Amino acid sequence: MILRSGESRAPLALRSLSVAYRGVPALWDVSWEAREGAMTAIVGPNGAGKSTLLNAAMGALRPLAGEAFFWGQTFADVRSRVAYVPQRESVDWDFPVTALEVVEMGSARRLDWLLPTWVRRGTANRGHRQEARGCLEELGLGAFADRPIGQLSGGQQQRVFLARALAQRADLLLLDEPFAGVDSETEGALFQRLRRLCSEGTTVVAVHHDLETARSRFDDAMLMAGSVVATGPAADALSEDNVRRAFAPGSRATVQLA
Amino acid sequence: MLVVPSWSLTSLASAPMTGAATASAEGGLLEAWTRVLSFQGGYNTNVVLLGTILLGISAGAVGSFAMLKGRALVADAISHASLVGVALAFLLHAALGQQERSMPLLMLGAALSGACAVVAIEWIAKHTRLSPETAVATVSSASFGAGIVALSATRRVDGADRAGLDELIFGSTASMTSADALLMAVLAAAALGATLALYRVLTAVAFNERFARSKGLPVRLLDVILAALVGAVAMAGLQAVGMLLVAALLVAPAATARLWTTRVAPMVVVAAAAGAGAAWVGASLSAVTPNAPAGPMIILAAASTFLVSLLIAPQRGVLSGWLRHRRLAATARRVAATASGSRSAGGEA
Amino acid sequence: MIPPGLHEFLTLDLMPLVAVTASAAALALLGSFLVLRRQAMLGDAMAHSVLPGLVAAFLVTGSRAAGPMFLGATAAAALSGLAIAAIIRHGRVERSAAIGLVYTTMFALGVLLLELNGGANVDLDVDCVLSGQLELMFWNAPTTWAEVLDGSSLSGMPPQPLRLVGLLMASAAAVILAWPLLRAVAFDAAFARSRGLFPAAVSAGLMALTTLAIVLSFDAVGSILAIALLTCPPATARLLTDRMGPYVALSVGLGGAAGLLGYALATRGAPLLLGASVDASGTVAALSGLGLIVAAVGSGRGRSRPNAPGPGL
Repeated sequence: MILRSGESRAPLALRSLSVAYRGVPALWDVSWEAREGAMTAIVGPNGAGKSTLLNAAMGALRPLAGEAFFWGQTFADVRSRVAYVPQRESVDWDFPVTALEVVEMGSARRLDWLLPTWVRRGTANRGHRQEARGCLEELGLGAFADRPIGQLSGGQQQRVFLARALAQRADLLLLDEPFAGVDSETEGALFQRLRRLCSEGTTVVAVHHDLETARSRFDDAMLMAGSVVATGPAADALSEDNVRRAFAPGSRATVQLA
Repeated sequence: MLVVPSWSLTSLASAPMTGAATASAEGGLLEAWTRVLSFQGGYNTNVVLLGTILLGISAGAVGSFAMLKGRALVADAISHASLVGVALAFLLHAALGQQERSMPLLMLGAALSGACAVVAIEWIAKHTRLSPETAVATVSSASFGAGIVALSATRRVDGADRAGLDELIFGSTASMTSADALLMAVLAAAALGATLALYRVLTAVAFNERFARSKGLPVRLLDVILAALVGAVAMAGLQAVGMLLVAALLVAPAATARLWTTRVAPMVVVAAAAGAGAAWVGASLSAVTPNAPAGPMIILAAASTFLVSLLIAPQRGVLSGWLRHRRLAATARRVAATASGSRSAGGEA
Repeated sequence: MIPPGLHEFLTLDLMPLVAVTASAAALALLGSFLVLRRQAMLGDAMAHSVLPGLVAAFLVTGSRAAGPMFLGATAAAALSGLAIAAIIRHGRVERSAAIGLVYTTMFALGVLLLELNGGANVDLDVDCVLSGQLELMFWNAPTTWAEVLDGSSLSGMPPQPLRLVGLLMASAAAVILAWPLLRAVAFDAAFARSRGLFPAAVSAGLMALTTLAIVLSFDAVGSILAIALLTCPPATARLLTDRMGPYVALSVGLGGAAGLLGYALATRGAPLLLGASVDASGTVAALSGLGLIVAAVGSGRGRSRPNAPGPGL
């Protein structure tokens, strides 16, 4: 394992990361580390660059400057240890795919990406199918495995996405608004499941929009508005004062001045 | 039999626009072009050129609103679908024993089938799971297929003047009579007039539909009116630009204008000017160049204007965006370097 | 002896029939991924914008050899793809307008190139752009069964139908081989990227295959009617099933059926009804559209989506 000298071994460490769209900065000089085994909420107003942060960390966007490290390495080196759940809106939920097929995208390894199941029947792919089914059942969706995802409710769809992330058996979960469209009961169950993962050593980083649950359910928080406003234990970082600063109109103007 | 290139015919009764091209024999292309550009190409040429310029102005203004409403491609569907109507109208006309080509009748057929296409697209997008994009692509291409079938049926009609039909596909000013030009000008002017008369409401609807609805504006009706205006421009441009390209005349000037300004009034003005310029340059160049149909010439002129604007526009141009990005990246790197410097300094201390 | 009726069919109809059916099926197969990703207009754009590339390749080489034509078309398609991306990114013009702008411009360029070089070219003209040249694909078919058996008549076969059948097979093989990958990329590109599946490369591969299909179909159905076959059968299939396997299979089936039926209708049905045959590729395209309308009316009646976004035309 090649470690950059002086780099921390945090599951995710950002070093002065700056990203711009069309010459307008979306993320400015963000330095931050996720704590291993903790649940961290990324909180901020619309357009604060929360999703951009996740995408830039994974190398999907080219940053202006700065770097992102996962356990001291680049994302490409540790891809299989990171599971990503994109924003709900980025997907066409009318897509002709079943819940089980979606989760299989999480448990698939290398050669599983080739040939449909009817060709591979009886070969090694049975293992990853079983694993996918297990993850679905764990989230209470066993009965929906062969349903097209378009027929599931919004909350069930989010659970399918989470099941896909679980199926990756990753050490770091990057979740973009995982509770969007989820009712409060399901939300509670999902939080419990994530909490159990954390106690097993998994790190969870989630973009989250609800301040209330961000304070009560998460360990840490990272409050941002283009650049970092506050970090630390959720209750402290999301103090009334900090939140007011982050959500104040024109809070992102500081980015341009920097 | 003496074969005379069509662009050198000057004395036909229908007095083709290319009359000016005789000049090219003596004075060279540039001189001939300047003559046409400065409206010294003869009566018929001037009428057609002026009509085409009016079409450009109208297309720019109507296209601006179509683009702001996100309906830029409705013209594409209307124009592709118009081939069925044109061919069926032609067949009907021939079945009634008429030999002469009747432009108004062909346009009426085109308008009817274009309207059917718009209704079909709206219905598919609203009542099925298919995306609006899929609806446009399927309806316009399949109806064009039907048009090709109908067009092939017109080949069986003896004696009728079919020449005009093929020209409607790619556009040709060469065969336009001053009566055709007048029809085009009247349609374009009507669309332009209606757009200017409805300027305020169209702006309101384009920018904030919910607000417009709350103010009691008939949003649905204005949608229909806008589609009709787009249709009118498409019909007007049928002969000069051709049905496969007329959509670009609505899109390109509006997209050009959008690069230069974000406000509506200047956008409409710039788009109209860009449309007029493209029509003026394209149509006149086509008049003096052998075998160069006006439609593609006009569209390429409009597209060049857009391309240049895309490169150099002050706010949204590629060049300024690139410069801004470079400056920003340099600052960001400086900030990052300072941060890592203080970090390592902190580490040592 | 082969009966004269059959001989006539073999000579005049078999090759066009094979060509139009294979091309329709292949286009429907590749188009099904465009429709699935809600990128139908992109198929529209590709089919229009290959024209200047085709014409340029033709003018340079002076022949319709498939190799140079494909290179020219691919270059033109890639250029349009880049231009569309740049315009959306910098011009902040919405997607459909950017696509419309680029492909009409490229098409205008192609038409101009054609016309400037004496539009009356026998090999490549505007009519061919519109509806292909099915009628030129005749086969000097054998007159006796013995000739069929010894294969001597095969040498006189026109190359286009065989190429199209080959394309159909190759596309089907590629799609089956990469099936789970294609599904993942089409469904959730952001996730696929995070797993290192290179969705951009997968899309580019599909686009290249689609461009090849458009180029090879140019002879059979023309570039504009290819759009109908890229979009209509998949759109119809999309209305009829919620499973991806059946969706793609149905789409290929509908495409092939439109090819067979359309050709039969144009060359056999129309003479009975109208007294003369009509354009076959146009009939195929119109028929595929008719199928969509039937499926849409059947599935869409009474199912209004109040919150659906208005058509972004």
